Amino acid sequence: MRIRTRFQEGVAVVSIEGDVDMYTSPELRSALSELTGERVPRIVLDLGAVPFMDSSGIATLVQTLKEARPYGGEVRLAAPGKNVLRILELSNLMALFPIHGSVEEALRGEA
Amino acid sequence: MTVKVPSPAEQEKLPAGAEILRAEGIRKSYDGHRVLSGIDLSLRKGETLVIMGRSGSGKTTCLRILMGQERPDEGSVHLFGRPVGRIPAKEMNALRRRFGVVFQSGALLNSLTVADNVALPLRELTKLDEKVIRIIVKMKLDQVGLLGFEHLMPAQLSGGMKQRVGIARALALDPELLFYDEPTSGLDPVMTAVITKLIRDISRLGVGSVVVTHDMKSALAVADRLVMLYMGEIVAEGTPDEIRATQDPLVRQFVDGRAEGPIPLQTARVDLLEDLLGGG
Repeated sequence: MRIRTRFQEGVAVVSIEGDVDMYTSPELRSALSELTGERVPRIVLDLGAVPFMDSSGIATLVQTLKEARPYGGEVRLAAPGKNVLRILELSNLMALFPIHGSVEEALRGEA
Repeated sequence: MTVKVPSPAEQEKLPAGAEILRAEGIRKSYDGHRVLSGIDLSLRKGETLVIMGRSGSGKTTCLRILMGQERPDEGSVHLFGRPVGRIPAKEMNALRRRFGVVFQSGALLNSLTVADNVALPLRELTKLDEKVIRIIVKMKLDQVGLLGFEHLMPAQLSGGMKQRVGIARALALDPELLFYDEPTSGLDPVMTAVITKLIRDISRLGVGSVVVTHDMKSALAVADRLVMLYMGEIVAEGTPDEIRATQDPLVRQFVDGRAEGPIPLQTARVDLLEDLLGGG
């Protein structure tokens, strides 16, 4: 898994490439907790290149949201594939995250 | 040498219906007593196979061999394409992360809370941080309908609740395959129906399941395929409809739950009067 973070107009865009599973999600957790630790107001997770995500990946996203909410921060998901959408749905967590078709849409705030 | 074990993600990319378990020619004896006599089984991704049979038919031994907990005297087991028992311990441990086991009555650790029982495999086998583990525990308890019971101890739970916690624990690592050992044993009819539905719901998520049971109603409700073991051999195999329709007297007696039939009952080995008065 590769993680790249860039900042665009104060928004952190985190691009993830590869599977997010029990082996790799600690690395994602570390990258995201750094952002919430710095109270970044909006985090956009680009999931377009994530073919597979398991419960640990979903839990990592939820924990990031839990950390961002107290300071008014938000976490948006961009371009999740069908496998990621499926596990979000199965976990009954679809409603937790604004989901966008692309990073651009997420940056503009369009659902 | 680096051993390449397919990750869960790689397994996810396997097409639906890919074979994840194959057992061929399994034979096992204890002290000269033959328990399994040439068992052949296979399981495809997302499929539920029920191994049924009365107590002592060899089904639990069969399950233990399929999981790699026991070695057969003859024959082979392949899990996810890898030969169980013939791979290094490190690779076997990696394979074990890909399947979960639901034991009879949940087999919870009584000194741990519900949450800690479910978290156990996550703490032992992953490097996930505690906050993430706590969220996964809630997700899994929600899946079995027990969210909110995290802080209870096993002694405070009913049999059915314990079994559901056991299932949540088995699901903790997102397994691709679940082994169930008598999952409805000792449960009342309502809780048996709850557990049966849960097994069905989990298999619909694409998790392969091997269920060992003597509970015919539950077996017929969850199975895609059933095999019946009798005296260490597979004596019947088929879909639930095929098993329901069979005229084989051995299978019929088991399916109908009748005392009379070709399956011999264990009867007293000695005469009562002789035993009482024989000076033994």
